[in-house]
Amino acid sequence: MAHFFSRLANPDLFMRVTRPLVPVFGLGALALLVTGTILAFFFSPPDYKQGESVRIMYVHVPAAWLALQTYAGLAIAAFVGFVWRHRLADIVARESAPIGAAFTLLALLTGSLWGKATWGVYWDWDPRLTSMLVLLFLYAGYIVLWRAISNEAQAARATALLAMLGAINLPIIKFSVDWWDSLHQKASVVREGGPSMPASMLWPLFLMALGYMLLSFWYILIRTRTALRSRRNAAAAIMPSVATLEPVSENPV
Amino acid sequence: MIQTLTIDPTPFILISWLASALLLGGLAVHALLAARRRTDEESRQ
Repeated sequence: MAHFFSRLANPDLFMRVTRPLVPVFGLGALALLVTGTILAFFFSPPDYKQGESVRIMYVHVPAAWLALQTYAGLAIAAFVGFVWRHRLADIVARESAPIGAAFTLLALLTGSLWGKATWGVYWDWDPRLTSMLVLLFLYAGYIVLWRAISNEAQAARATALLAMLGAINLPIIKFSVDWWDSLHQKASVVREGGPSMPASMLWPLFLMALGYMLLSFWYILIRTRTALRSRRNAAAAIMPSVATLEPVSENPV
Repeated sequence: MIQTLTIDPTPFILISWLASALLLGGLAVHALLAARRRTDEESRQ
């Protein structure tokens, strides 16, 4: 297992493998989001109860899914970095946080607007809403902690602990609507008995979710690649001064 | 009896989509600019 992660965490291999993936993910995300938007506005029907306000679902639900998925990926990368001390895993975790925080913020914002249009209130201290707010704080805390500790290795370990502890919140978010009485509706796509909405609503929802997912992969890849290039340049800048010291040590005065 | 809300949802829909596009688009542009800046620095060295 350790050998497998060692191979995978080789920065050169990572740069080589991900180079062709960046444009694929970027263009794929763009195509899916444009198609999803067209379907959501022009080919999906209004809901029989909520009317036109259901169109908020096509940005709200994918944002909420990706907020959880990104945090799960971040926590796994942090765990790998913590246990096997792979710098690449730490960098992937660090670079995942901004887009995860953005998805969480969007889920809360669009949910609040949808809530006002359907429930009549922007906010309620409901278990689902509150646990999502906790997720936003976890992302914010994670980002701030990385910036607060100047030693990169120490920052990686401290933030990994926070990320792993924070993962407890993921099942709480997912099952909050089942465990407690909630104003928020229960799962209507991933549930026993299949989705409770027609294909004309499911298609734009899935396209938008897939578009968000590819966008998040693209973002994490491009940010990780940029971080690796910065580290490589910084290392290269130090190397010449070390090289000039070598002849001196061979011929002591 | 279920009371129906009479709020016009159009501004809520527009703000939701616009905020999503601006925030995610902004992050994407920021990531692209950082990568471009790195490439420029590498080409100068």
